[in-house]
Amino acid sequence: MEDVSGLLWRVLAGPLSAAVVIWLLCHKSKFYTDFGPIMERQAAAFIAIGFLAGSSLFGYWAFGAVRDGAQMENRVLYEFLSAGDLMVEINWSLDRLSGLMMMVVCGVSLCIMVYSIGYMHDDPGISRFFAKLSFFVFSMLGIVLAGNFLMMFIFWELVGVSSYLLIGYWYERPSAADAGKKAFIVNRLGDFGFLIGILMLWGITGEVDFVRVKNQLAAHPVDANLLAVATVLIFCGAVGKSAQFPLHVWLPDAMEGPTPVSALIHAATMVAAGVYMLCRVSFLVFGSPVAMEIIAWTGGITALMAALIATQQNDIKRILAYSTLSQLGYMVMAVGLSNPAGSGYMPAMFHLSTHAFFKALLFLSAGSVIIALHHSEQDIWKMGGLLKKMPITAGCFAVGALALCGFPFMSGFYSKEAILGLAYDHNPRLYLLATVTAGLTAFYMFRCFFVAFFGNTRGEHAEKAKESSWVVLGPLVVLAVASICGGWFGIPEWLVENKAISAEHAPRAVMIAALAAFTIGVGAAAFLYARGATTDALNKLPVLSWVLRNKFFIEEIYMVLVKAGQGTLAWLCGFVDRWIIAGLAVRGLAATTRGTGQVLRLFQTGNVQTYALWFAAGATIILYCLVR
Amino acid sequence: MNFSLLKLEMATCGLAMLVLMLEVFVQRRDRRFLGYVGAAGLLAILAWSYCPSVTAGGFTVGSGFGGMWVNDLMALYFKRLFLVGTALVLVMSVGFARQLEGGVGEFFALLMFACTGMMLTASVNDFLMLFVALETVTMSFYILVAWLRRQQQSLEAGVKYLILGALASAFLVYGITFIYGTTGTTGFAGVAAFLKANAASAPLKIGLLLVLAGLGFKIATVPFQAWVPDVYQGAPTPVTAFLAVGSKAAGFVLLLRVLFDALLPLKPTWVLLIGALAGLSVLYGNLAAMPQRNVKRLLGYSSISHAGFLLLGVAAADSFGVSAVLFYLFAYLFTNLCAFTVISCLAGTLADDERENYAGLAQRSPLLAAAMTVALASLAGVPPMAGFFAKFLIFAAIIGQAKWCLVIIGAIGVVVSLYYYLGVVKAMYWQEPRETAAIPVSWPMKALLWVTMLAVVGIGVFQGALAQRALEAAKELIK
Amino acid sequence: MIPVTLEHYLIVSGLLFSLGLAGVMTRRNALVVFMSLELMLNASNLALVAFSRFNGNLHGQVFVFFIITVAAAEVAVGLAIIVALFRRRQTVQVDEITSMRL
Repeated sequence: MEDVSGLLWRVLAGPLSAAVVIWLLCHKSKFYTDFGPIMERQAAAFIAIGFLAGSSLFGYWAFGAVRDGAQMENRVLYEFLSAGDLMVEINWSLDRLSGLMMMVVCGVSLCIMVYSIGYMHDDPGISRFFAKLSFFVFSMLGIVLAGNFLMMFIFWELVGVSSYLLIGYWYERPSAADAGKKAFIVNRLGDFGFLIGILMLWGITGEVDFVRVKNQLAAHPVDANLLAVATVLIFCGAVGKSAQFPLHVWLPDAMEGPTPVSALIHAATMVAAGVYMLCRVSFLVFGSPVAMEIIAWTGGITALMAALIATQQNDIKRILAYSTLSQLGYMVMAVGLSNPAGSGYMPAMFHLSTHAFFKALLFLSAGSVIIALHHSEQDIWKMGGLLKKMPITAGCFAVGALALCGFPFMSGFYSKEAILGLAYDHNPRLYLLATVTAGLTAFYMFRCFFVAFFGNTRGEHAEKAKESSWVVLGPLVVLAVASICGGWFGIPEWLVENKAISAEHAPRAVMIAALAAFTIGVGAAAFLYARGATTDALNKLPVLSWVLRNKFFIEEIYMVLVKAGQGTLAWLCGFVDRWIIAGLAVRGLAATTRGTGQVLRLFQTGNVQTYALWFAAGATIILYCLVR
Repeated sequence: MNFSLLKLEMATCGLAMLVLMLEVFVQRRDRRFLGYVGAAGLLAILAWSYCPSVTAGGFTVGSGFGGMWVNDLMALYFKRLFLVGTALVLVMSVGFARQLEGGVGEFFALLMFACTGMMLTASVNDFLMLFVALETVTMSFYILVAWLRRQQQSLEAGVKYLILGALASAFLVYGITFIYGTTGTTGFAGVAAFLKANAASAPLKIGLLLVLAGLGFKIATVPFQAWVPDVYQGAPTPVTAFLAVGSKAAGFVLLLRVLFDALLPLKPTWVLLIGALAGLSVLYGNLAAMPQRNVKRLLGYSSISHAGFLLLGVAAADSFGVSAVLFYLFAYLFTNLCAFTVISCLAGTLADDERENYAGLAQRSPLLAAAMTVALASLAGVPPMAGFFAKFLIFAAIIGQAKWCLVIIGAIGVVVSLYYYLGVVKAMYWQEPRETAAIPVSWPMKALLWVTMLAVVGIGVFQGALAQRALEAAKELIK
Repeated sequence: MIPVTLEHYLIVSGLLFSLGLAGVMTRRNALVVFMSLELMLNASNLALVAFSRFNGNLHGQVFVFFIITVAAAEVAVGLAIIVALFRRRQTVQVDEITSMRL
């Protein structure tokens, strides 16, 4: 068997070294002036892409090894901490799950980095951008390849940090800085639960390594309720990172970052990390039905709620952000509904992979539109008529939208069908919810498409729009092909080796219902928006539109809660701090210890004969105790 | 008489004499560079100690001189520790040479003679040998501590160290006398055999206690700690550093040898005694350090508390505890050298070592402030510094022995220590400096600062290899 | 004539040691303190020789040679330090050298 662990080091080393090299060399770009103006501006991009391409090659090599049957779980590379019973090593887990995820991350990142050359062309901080982007890819690959909970948590936090850096990339805009902060803080809430979950699990099993925890749990069954609590706590991490209800509020704001960042982090990879993590610990999740129920409903509610909100958004990136939320809800729901004996986590991972492609495609198309509008317009009502001005972008957006809505034979069709079939089998209420969401998805995506690309141009920027350059269009086309063909690569067969299960299809009724939902959604969108509408017809339903436009007032409720809660808590903490901790505990204790110190110091009289006396007296006292 | 057993010690001693002789041929202003010769030589000997002929094959590993001498993995571990420590102290002394008046070559030679003595202590297996090795170290230190003979503080420290050191030696010798008188032998193996066969009589117990008192002086444990703050404050800074890392480690290797080789049959008794001394040292060192304002003196008190932490590991009395002690000594070596290098860099600039003078150091020299912060963080046991993992091992060892009382005392010590270490950090970063002139740092000192800082962080992050070596050495001591 | 037994030697040795220790703790002159320390070492020498005689082996007597040598070296170093102190301070009273304390 090939030794793949060395490869994995290299996979991780690529983006990290890119980040370091860019940080070291491009800090002051004097180094590049000798190479001409193009190098001076784009050196960072080429370094980042070069290193990532190398990493992807190594990654593909490892992927090939997995395909040939190499199973490299738990190879200890280095003992990070070892004391008594606790052993934490640096080890990788490379199996079919992480292999697939690694390829998705590498592929999408490569496309997006190439695209960024075009998108960030005029930005002064381009090298900073690529350094941060490389660092993000490093952290993300770390999550994918981590072999134990502790390493996963470390990379999990690194992803949080790099996401914070990238959302706040345009730090001079207060809204971007705030969005970065919000993302970080909301994520920390989830991470806190994650950490406690990990510690609980460690307490239960005494291990932090995935495989050893699994074996330990198999060998010594523990109290189901305890396990359910630990699982739900770990799920909290996924709730934060994958932006599930009620911690979803950060994701739409994160659209303040540059569009390639939105595409990479907030659509294709980072937010999928939560779902990936749930699949990685599926041995835990599948073990407690209660936790699965909670996970499934959280996902379902998120999916429906986000889809409803998306129907009334006007910012093109925000529509896509809510659509991402909704699709992530789908995936989480799929994890919660999975059938451990059958397809396992396959539907969730399948949808994750296809979603990575078509959602990245949608974001990048939106980015292409934004480039054409000189980075100054994102409101779909001020666009219009872009189909004629930028046909390739429009075509790619349409492909992405169709894939997302589950148009037959496109990638999204297969993966969504797998999830719907699962829901149909296990939970009729969630099935209904998912089908309604599918219809809504078709409605808001085509609302966006018709308004932005059809009809007459409605803004001065849109008048002057023209097709973007090849650097931008190339990745779009690649991703469009992937979005169309994603369902044919055999991802289900890759994840579930049992052919009988992976070839299973949902009942015909499910397919017909899904197609009906798609048709109704697109039809409604076409009826309302395709004929050159200049205002939103839904405005005639004031209450509904008001509620949806304000996203169910969740943020406002949070603000009130936080304010009231914070006020009370602050008063309480202040009271405890001032009177009990500071007054009694700290001051009292500090005074006691200080006083003791002052007294003990008196032994040091400075006179050597006193010291001799202490010496002899000490020896005598010990002698007395010893010989007595 | 297999003299090849002694080749590392003989090489070190020869190197010291070579430096002493070279001084005659070197011009006065260039003499300080002899320190580099010494350091390079010691590092060469260190490299030599990794040769297969030294480490394996039975050539020098083994015992000799009628059982007085033992060369095992633990001896080798400590010899390397002393070589590394002395080499670094030599480099520090070169940077400090302007403050040393005259006879720089002798200063270097004495450091190396002390190193020879320490290396002898690592292999001791007989009370006579113990006495000779210990006196070699102590005698060199008498001179080194009082080296600045025009400065009152150095002389005062010298006299105090001399009188108390001689007192400790007298106790030690009187103890050995009683041990010899009751057992009829001075060899560790003979004493152990005697103790196994007979119950310990009162004169023997007196003897053992007096020996432990003599060693307690070296490692600076309560109640034999009184000299430490004064001598640390008054001695030339490189000598203080050497006292803190070398002399203490020599005391510990002797203590381990005596306790585990000679006194193993009395283990239940001395575990209690060592535990009590450890607890007292941790409490005394940390509490008395709290009101301290002189940084060198503060490190003196902290040295007492660290002796306590190290004794906690000894009190665990199993191979894991001993390995924790060995690991701790190496971590402590780099940490302390880092801190004292900063102090000796400041010696020419600051009026004295009062904490007020450290105010705003970060603005005057970011490197010095950073190095001091790393060292203090390691002393306080903040992850990921070497000191954290060292304390972690010690606590793991005593928790493993279920000595909860000691665990609680140790935890109190850690919390209290954070307070006074952070006081210095706070002064360096958040107080306004009295003067703003930048503090120049010569390049050898810079190199030393970087090496020690990297070692502190490096050992903290990649502890595996060193911890493994320590465990191997400890397992050889406790068969 | 009372036969001289081991106990007699030990009692004398103990007296010497105690006298030395008392001298270290009470005498103010550094030179006298140092002499007292030598007295303590000599207490060991006496006891060692006596033990050697009654144990019937020579280890103790060999040890005495080492102690004498070490004591000589100690005196050489110690007196030098005390002389240096006298030059600097014009005093050898140990209770006057207390500039470093607390």
